[in-house]
Amino acid sequence: MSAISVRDLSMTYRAPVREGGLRAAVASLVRRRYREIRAVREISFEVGPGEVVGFIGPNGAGKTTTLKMLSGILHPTDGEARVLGFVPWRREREYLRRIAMIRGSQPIGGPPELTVMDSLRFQQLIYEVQDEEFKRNLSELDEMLDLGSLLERQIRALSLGERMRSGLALALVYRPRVLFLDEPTIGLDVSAVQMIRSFVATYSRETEATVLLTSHYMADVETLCRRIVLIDHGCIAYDGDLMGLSATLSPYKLVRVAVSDGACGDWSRYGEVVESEPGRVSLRVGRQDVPAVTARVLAELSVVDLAVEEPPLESVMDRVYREGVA
Amino acid sequence: MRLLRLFGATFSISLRRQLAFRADLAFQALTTVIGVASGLAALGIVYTQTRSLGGWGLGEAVVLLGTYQIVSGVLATFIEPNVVWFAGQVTSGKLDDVLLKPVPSIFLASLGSCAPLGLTQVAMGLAVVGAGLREMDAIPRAYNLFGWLVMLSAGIAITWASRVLLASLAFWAPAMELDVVYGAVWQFGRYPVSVYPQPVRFALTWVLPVAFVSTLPAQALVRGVGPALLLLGTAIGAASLLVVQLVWSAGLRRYTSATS
Repeated sequence: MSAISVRDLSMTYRAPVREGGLRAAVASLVRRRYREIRAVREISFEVGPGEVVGFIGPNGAGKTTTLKMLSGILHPTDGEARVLGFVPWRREREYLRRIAMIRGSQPIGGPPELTVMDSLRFQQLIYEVQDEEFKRNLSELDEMLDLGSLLERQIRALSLGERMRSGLALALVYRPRVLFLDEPTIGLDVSAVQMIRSFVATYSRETEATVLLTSHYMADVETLCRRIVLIDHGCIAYDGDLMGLSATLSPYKLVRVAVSDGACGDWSRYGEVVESEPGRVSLRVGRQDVPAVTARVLAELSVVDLAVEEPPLESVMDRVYREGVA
Repeated sequence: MRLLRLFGATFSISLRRQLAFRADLAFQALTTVIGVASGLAALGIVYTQTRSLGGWGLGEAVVLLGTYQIVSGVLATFIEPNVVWFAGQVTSGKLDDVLLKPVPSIFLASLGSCAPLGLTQVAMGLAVVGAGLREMDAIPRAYNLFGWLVMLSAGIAITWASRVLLASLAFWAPAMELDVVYGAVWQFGRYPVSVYPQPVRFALTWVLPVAFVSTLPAQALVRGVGPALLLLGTAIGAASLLVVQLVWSAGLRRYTSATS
């Protein structure tokens, strides 16, 4: 049985629209015009138990809306979803006890005057965690997130990185089976990002929790997720493994060549020049042309080094976000 | 049971937060005293001109004022801190956190935090009720006391329900802030509803049930209450809890959160 199962899920917002200016504002009192914003359009996918899936797409693609529907915050306009066998938006107690939604933009929701430990104790009460289990979970989280010095501090005095660590501890102290992570590394410094990444990897491995993660940092997705679901304009544009993503979405590969004699001549006869400096060049070459082009390069030039690479995920995504999926 | 423990925990948390500010405590006590004193003074002045106000003698009116203070204190302690600016929570998406918790969302949204200093008002209200009874030279019979407690509970239930109902209008009309209107209507509770002319009296009993907050409980205490009225009060209290629950669920279906 899959942990998350989504079928034809749709969410349409109705937003009032009007032109600028006073006249239009007055007119809108009498006749109001609405525009339907179809944030999510009939998406379907399944996630198996213990899977870590990257949910990616440009701003406004519908990622957060989908996560909010799956965590029970929003009622969809249409379609079905089951998470751990529950219908999320019924918000049954047993369901909410098994999931966590963590937002990088707002990792902690509770009163900021409380200390981290007070907040953890409050979570324990809300989620009905037995004392022994609480202590065990907390000491494990402490080991992974280095909470020690944070526990006695007030939440409002924490830095963003510390807030994120505490937010993760608060959300995971009751051992949720499904995690919705919305931009968990947004705004964090390099070492905090590393820590969060390795934490999510360890946590999902050790507890076999299912994770659905959105991020704009491809590195998050590359290190954590084997599978990617790409959403664009509310529709699923790709669902499959990470390697396949660039193969499907980018019809090019990157051929890097270094030559000994420095005589470069006209590189553009081999492919589109991405970067060049004396004796060294990166070419964008059509996938099916790669064997022919490398053969020609090797035959015609004195090559010191040659490498064929997948284009960086960031640039693939950039093209997809701007131009859509081919 | 679990909700009660949760309620205890939020109370203790809020108390810890408020006790950190000593000056606040002093000012709160002071404003409560001033509020009660001015209420009593107003009654005193009225009763130099007349022996009865809408059929209520001075002692009875003081009991009513005390009862009103008690319910106002409960409102200020447990309800207001949560629902004030509720519309802001709806439009900013702050309600998300509440919805993610495995606790009835209406409970967390309307009783999830409190302002324990408001309890000074409740204490003061109790004292005023005592003073009123003394003025009347009456020791209430056990049944009257029971009637007062039942009607008071119904009044508190109705208060909570009406306040939450007003707040949940934000799901439909987020730009409407009716807090001030509620406060204004609330002031009608200071006096027995019988002092108001008929259409207003009817409205204060059945449309905006202010009568249930002070007049009816106080009446139960000083004059006794028939079983029919007791039952009616309980029924209306229970019905209001049900209605607000339904409206709340309907409102949540409309909740659209906010981006990111």
